[in-house]
Amino acid sequence: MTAEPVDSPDAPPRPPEPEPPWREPRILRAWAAAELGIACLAVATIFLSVLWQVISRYVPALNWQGVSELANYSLIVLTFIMVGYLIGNNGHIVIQIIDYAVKGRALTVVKVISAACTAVICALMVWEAWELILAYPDRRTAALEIPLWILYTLPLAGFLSGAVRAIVRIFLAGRPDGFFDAAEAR
Amino acid sequence: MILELWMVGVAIIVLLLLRVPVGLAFIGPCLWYALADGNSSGFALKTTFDGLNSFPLLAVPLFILVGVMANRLGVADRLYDFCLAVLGRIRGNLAYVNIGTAVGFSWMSGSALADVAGLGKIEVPHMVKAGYPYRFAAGLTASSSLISPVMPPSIPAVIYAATATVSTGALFAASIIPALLMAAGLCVYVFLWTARRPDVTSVPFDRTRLRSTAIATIGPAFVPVILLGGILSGTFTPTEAASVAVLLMVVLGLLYRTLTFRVMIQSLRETAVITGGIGLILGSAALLGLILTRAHVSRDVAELVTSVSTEPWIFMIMVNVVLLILGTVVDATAAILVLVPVLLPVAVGLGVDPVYFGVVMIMNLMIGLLTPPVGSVLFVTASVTGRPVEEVFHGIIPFLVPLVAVLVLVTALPGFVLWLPHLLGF
Amino acid sequence: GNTPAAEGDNPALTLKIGSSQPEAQPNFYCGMKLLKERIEAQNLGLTIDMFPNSQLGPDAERFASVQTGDIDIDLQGGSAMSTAFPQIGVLDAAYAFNDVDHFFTWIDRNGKDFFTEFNTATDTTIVDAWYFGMRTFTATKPIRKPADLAGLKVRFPNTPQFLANAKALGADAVAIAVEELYLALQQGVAQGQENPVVATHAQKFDEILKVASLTDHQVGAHYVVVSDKTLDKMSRPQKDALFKAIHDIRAENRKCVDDETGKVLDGWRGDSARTVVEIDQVDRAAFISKAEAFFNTHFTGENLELYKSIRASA
Ligand code: NA
Ligand code: NA
Repeated sequence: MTAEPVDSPDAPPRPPEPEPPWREPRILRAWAAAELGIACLAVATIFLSVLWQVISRYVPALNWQGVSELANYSLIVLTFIMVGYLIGNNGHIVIQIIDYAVKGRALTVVKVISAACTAVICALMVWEAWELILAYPDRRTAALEIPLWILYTLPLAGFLSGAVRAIVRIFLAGRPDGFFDAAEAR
Repeated sequence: MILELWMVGVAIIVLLLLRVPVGLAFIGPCLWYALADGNSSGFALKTTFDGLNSFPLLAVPLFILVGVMANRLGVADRLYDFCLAVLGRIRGNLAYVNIGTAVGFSWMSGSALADVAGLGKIEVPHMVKAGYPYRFAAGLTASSSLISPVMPPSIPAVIYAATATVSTGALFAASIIPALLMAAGLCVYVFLWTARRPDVTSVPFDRTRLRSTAIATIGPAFVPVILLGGILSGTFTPTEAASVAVLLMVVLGLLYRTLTFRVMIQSLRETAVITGGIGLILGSAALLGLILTRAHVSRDVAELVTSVSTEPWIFMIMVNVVLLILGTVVDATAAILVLVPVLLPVAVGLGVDPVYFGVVMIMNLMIGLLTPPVGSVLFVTASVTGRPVEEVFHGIIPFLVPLVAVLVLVTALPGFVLWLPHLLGF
Repeated sequence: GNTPAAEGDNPALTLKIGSSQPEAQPNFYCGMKLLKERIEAQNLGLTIDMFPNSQLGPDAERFASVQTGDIDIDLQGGSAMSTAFPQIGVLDAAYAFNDVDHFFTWIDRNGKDFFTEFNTATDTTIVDAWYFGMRTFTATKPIRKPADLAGLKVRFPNTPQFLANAKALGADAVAIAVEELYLALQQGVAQGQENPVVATHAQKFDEILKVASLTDHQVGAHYVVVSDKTLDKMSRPQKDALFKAIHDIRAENRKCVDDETGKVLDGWRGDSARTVVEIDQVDRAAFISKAEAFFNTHFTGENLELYKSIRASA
């Protein structure tokens, strides 16, 4: 789908839920709140920057060449900072075909493998982010001249958060997935 | 470590089947392949990062924010009330109201889910109470929500335009008639259905209600006027129009006194979460796309296709069949991002117009949102109405007939699609 | 990426060469493609894999990939590389060079030292520069003198040097992404743009903008830049062949660009719906002194020194 991460919350008929949904420990919740806060700030920045670009075309005094770069990098920041949050909240777009085929303990095994693969991929991306931070010590963005290594710390943080949350999910594989509703995100 | 490209494809499919998030399922095998191919460590992340660095893509979060705010600020409810008042005397009016509201809302929303999630909660219970079978109500609500991502503003269109480097404005203009044809197709089906069902009741017509609800929709009616007018007059570009649309929503929210600080924050959160999910797919598909480009996959596909036929219409039939099948299982954003760099050069080589190709591709993939095993509109309809997915899909099946008929019509007659963009000078 | 396999003294290598230019442009058919034909004909184990039309990404991002060795060779303008080596942006300053001969004379005289400094800063090697065409304005009205730019919204590429050029010439620059430029011109969001004649024609901006003013305010050049990681894998004969081919193509490529430019311009001149403001109808002296006054205060330190030495050689 084009928009919502609630890709298939209720796709398979859900088994009766024996346990209440797991709640993340306080530190992960605080971390998630910080991530969501940064992402909201990025959305607001995109809105204001693009609007500024429109207005400055008619009010030349407001012309500032950094504005489109600010908007572009906000989308990048938003995407990477939300990686861990969405893994932790079961909010990424996932194709849940297998839920039709396997049930019970087999589904738990699938979820363990899935979370383990997710953790490995996130960990590899953390390593890549670290390599990029080392590779471009001097490169800066064209207009705002932000050092690129600073920008690469955001995917580092996002994928690190993703790896941690994926590892947590390995241990939660036996529990039913909580329903993720984008409208109720916090 | 020698890794063939087909192994990347297999690994991606396995990871997707294992329920790994789509973006990460793309990244993992691509990262492995890039390293095995002798690229620098950091190649995968750098490409993902750079793939998001695109001005036209900024319209994605902005149009999501517009749709989210239109729901939260009560704009969707106003449209529904207005359609209800207008279509008072017609037999089966609630069904037409459903389609009419979808058309109205489609001018503000760029995705189908905003539509089902917001309007489904009101419309389905209302129709069931008036004597419509649940399956018909749910099927119609799900089907009519597809008008939103086809009618401008459209998030799939923004993504297609950015990937194909065609004009977003031209794609918007080209989508208007197909979106209206979808509405017309659904109306025809409703007409035939209600003709055999004299038992469904109609809400009586009320002149004073019509006036009050009309006044209540004056504000929202300005949104498409300002957006299209602004784009066509050169006041702003389509991407910039998205920010103006958000501003209009803020103004409407202040006028209606529904915009509180809480609503604003929650709208930003919902947008951030939805954009984050799409963003990872956007970036990771750029990585997969670069790997396919470097391997000249498009050239190989072109050779394969042209060995079958060099007739554009045979190619378009093949594209439709493949996309309808893929659409049942594949996420639409991911499909656009991965398939455009591969298929578009082939299409252009055969003389197919890239704007027309985009409209056909989007309509195809949107129909896939209704079908199992992977269909987000299907699932959300079931979720907001609290009934099993199977029952909703049974309701959807008959509506696939008019939708596919419109798709066939649009595919067969590119003129329908290209007439408006040419008229408007795109 | 390459898998060096020893084949006598010459390892078998496939070199990826990238560019922003579409296949219809002289820098493709008289540049990149010639390079491929000549190198491969020598049977030195080298294969050239061509990616025109920004297939491997936008300029600045491709250059970063040349630095890491993910792209082997690329055709790059100066400003995209100026984030890694600021002085190369100075070569893109408006009217820094009077004309294309001035540019190539400077490159032949000073290029060796300059490109060595560049190499130290970027881990990439500039082998030579290929001509891309003189950048000129196409707009809705003629531009003969700096005052004609007043009140005209002209699109410049969104890099610091290009935006400085706008100021130096007295233009009211608007930043628009290249993907949206055609539509923006069509809808009047911008009333002009600047590019070499061949590029303006290839990207169809001349469908909308009917007045070309041959201000020739900047020498458009593409530096042929090679990754040092790639050079490290190559044998001496392979490197010599590559460098020689790149140098040899420079003159042919320039003639090709000039021919194509002439062809496009003749088409415009012969079209009654169009106006071409010829180079001698432009008050270049006024533009040059205006730009010079601006850049003498705009540039500082090493950049200013470089700029002044270029102007002194004019
Ligand atoms: Na829409
Ligand atoms: Na589907």
